[in-house]
Amino acid sequence: MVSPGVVGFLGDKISMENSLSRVLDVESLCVTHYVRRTSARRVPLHAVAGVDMHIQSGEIVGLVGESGSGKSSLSLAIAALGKVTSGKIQVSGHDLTRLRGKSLRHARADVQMVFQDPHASLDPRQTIGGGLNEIRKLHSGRVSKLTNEELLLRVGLSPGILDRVPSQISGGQAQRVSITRAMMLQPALLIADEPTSGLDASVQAQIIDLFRTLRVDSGLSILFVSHNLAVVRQLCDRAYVMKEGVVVESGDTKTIFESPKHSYTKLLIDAVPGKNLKLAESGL
Amino acid sequence: MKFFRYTLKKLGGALITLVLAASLAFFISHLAGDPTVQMLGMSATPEQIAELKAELGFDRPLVVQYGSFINELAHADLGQSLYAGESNFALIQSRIWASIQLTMVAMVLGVVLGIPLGVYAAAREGRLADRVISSLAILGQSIPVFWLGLMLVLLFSITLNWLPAGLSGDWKNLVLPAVTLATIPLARVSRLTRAAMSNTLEDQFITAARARGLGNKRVLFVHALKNASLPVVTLIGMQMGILLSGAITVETVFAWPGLGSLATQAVRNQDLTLVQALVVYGAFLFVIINLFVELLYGVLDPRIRDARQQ
Repeated sequence: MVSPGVVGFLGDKISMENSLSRVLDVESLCVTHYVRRTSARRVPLHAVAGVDMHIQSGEIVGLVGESGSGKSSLSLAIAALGKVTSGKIQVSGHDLTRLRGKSLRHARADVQMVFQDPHASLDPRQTIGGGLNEIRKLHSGRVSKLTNEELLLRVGLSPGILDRVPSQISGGQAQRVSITRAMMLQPALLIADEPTSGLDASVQAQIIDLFRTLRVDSGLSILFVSHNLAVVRQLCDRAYVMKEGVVVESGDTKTIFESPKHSYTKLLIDAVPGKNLKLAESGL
Repeated sequence: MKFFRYTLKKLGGALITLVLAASLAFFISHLAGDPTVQMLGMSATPEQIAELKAELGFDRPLVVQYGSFINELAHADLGQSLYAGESNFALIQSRIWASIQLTMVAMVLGVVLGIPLGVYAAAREGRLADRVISSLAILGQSIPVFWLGLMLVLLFSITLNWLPAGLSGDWKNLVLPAVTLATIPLARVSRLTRAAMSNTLEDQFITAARARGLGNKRVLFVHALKNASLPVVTLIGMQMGILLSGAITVETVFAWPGLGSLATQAVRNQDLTLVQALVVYGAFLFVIINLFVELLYGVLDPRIRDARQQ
């Protein structure tokens, strides 16, 4: 997928060896929330009920399912931001579930997340440049050597926006800023949680293209969480289909879409507007 | 240019507020009855009363009196005190320093303790620490300050004999009234900070900040608190106005020579013009503090700044 010696997005060399290793290994992960229903008693809700998942370096893997299927609980747990009830999450060989305090905060840099609502994921009071500098200061050891201006140019943004605050830039620009913030930490894995659903169709296509470029340029692994099957089919090498906290189907994107085995997967594919996935073919 | 127009609009609004407050003070204090009877005592003859009325201008029609009151205000003249025979401005000036001292110490205590307590409670929402802090805040807001003041006097002045029970002097005299007065801003600031923080902490940019590996302190105090600060700043401004225009109960309990006890005396003596002057002064303070707080909004929130410039 990535040839040896290629100079990546952040200007460092990526070796062949790295591109074959596993960046993510999830073993029988369970996340149980206790929610109050009508009664005063708290009822356990098994958001993630024994999920196994792995991602190789340089892979783009889709995670699909309707809302409430456990996608978000799973991705938050992988990013060390959510609760883990039992199971194991290994990122580049480190077990995230065992880390606490400072070492946990450092490990979080390994998995970066891009969120659904690009404006909501930026501090409204902080300039774009201020946000980038904050990360530089915090992770001075691992942060990219490129300047803020160079980083922005790589994601197709003008350095002129460094002095602006989030309300002064568009949704597409804000999402590129989020991607820059994530990428400057040189993470092993990028989790993109519905990164395009808040954007216009034309901007969606540009962001999808940017993810592709990132993968080719720096061998980045991406977990792409979405309910937009057309985009998943276009972008992802493999996909996991989740329902009620368990993975019901996984495998090559092509296989899943052409001959879905599980009835739920079939249902999801049938629910896509324009059943033949014309959207996907039109290049979105 | 746009900022100029914005400022002009705000100043116009402030002026209208002042005139309304002054008018209200004028008419309500004239409803309270004739001050001349009280001033001369029960034995005064109708002739004496009529003479005093003519001397003070109370025999003129109400509208004329109102007109001259507003006219004096327009010339920054707060009038003469009926009782003390001094200018109201001089009376206010003689008490204002004591009020500023008391207010500042109480506000600093309230803000310096209230904000961190509110932040901590929001960070531990639903846990024991939150419940303890929230309950104490409700308690602090509900306790009548005169009762709390008396209890503190009982404990620290009478039983332990550590601190003086009243009057002004050195810093020791300030401790009990300031602590008593501080419970009000402390309880309100901590409650509002907790509420505003707990909303902000659910925002996605907070999760995003944690995802980048930011420490808890930085997330709470830099990102969340800055975004939750707008309502808290407004509240602090309002509290400041209330306390500066006279903490009536606390000043009475501790015989503190500030504007609050001046107001109590003025009412007791039916010193009509002094009451009016104090109300106008209070309204003036509120208007000035509000203008300042609104300017601060623009500094705290770039979105508001942008909206003003457009």
